[in-house]
Amino acid sequence: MTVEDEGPFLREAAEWIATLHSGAVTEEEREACRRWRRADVRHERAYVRAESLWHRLEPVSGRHRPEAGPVLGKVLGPVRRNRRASLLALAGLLGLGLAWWPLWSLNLTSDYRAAVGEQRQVTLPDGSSLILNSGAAVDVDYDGDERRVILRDGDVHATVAPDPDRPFVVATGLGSARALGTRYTVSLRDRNMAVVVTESSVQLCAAAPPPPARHACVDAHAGQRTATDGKSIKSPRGVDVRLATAWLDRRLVADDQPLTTVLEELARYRSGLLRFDDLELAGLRVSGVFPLDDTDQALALLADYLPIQVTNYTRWLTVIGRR
Amino acid sequence: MGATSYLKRDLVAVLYSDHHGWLLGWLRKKLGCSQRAADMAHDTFVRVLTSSSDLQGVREPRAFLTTIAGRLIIDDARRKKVEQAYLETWMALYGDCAAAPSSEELATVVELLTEVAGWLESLPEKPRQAFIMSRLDGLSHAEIAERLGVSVSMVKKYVAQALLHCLALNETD
Repeated sequence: MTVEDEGPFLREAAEWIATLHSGAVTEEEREACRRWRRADVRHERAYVRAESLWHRLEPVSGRHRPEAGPVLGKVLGPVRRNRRASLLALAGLLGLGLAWWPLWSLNLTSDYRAAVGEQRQVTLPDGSSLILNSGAAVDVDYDGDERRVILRDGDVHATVAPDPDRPFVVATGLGSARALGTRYTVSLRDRNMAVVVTESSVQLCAAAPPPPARHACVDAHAGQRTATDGKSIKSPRGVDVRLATAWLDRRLVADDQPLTTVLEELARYRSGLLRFDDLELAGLRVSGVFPLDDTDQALALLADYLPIQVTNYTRWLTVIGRR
Repeated sequence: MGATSYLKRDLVAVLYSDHHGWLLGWLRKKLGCSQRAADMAHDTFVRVLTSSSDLQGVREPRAFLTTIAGRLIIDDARRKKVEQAYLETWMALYGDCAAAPSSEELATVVELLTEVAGWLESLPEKPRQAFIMSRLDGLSHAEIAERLGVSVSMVKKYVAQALLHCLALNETD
C-alpha cells in the first residue's frame, strides 16, 4: 500500500456516484462532489475507478437493452419473482399484433432534429423559423429557387418570413406545402401528411397523383386543415387551429379517438418503448386533454378512466394491457 | 517487469507439467465429460498465466488449480443460465417478431451480464435489487424506494453498497 492508495475512499466515491444517479441530484450536490474530488488526489482516483465501473455497465443499461434488468432478476433468483411471473404471462399477450415501437427517432443524419420529449426552435437564414415537435427531423435546402424544408418525420410548425420571389415549401415524400408568407403546421405520420394553416394560406400538392392528374393541388386557408396520402388530397375543412396544434402548448387533445391512436401519439414523446397489442385495446376510445411533457401522468390519466393497466418494467419499457 | 513475466512463464510451465494430468482427471470426474474437462483444464492454465496472483507464494498447487478451475466451472454454468434467461426474456417481451440482437452483440451482452450476476450474487436482496433498478432499469431513487418499501436515503446507501461490492470483486477477478 502506498501513500497514494485510494482504497479507503472507494466507499465515499460509490456514494457520490449513487447520488449523481439518483434522478434528483441538485446543483449543490454536484458542486459538493466536484469539491470532494479536488480535495485529494486519492479522492479523484477513487472516483474515477467507481465511475468507470458504473460506465462499463452502459451496454446493459435499459437505454440500450431494456431486457437486461429483467434477465438479471431472473438469473439471480426469487427476488423478482412477481415480475418474472408477469413477464412470462406477457408472452401470450404479446405474441400477436405487436405494435413494436420502431426507434423512429433515428433520423440522426438530418440537419435538425428534436430529441424525444423535447421541442426545438430553429431560425433559418431568411428569418423564417421552425418549431420541431418531439422526435421531428428536417433537412433544409435553401440553395435553389425555393426555400425548401424537407420533413422526414413528425410535426413542424413554420413561421415564414414573406418573400414573394422565393416560395417557402415544406416537402415530404407524400407531397409539398407551399406558401409565400404565413404560419402553418405540417405533420407526417407514416402514410399521411397533414397541413393546418394558422395564418394566410398554403397550397398543398400531392407527390404522385394518379393519371390523369386531377386535383393534384389544393389551397387551404387560415383555420383549415387538409391532408394527402401522396395520391389524393382531402378537401380543406375548418378546424379549431389551437386544438389541432395543441402540441405547440405541449398538450395532446383527443376527441373521441381510438386509444391506440392516442398511445401511438404519446409514444412519440417517450424515450422508452411503449408496447401494447392493437387487437387487445381495439374498441376503447378516448376524449380528453393530456400533458405531453409528462407522459407518465398522461398514461396514469388514461388508466384512471379506461379499463387498462400500465406496467413499467423499467424506465425504458412500458406495457399497456387490459385490466 | 520482463524478468517477472519470464519467471512466471517458467513457473506455469512447471505447474503444467507437474499437475496438468492430475487436474484433467479431477475435472473429468467432476464434469463427467472428457471434452469439457480438457477445455476447462486449458482455460484454467490460461487463467493462471494471465492472472496477477503471485505464483511463488503458492504452497498447495493442486488446491490452487482446483480453486481456479472450480471458479471457471461456476462462471460457465452462470453464463449458460444468463444465456437461457436472456432468450426467454427476449421471447416473453418481444416475441419472435422483433429482430434479435446479432450473435456477436448477444455474446457481449451475455458476457457482461454474467460478470455482473457473479458480483451481485453474494449481495443481500435489497442492495442487489436497488442496484439493478438504478443502474440497469434507469429508475430514480424515489421510484426504487417506492418499490422496495424503503426510504430514499436507504436506496442511496444500497446502491453505493452494491457498487462498492462490485468494485471489490472486480478487483480480485
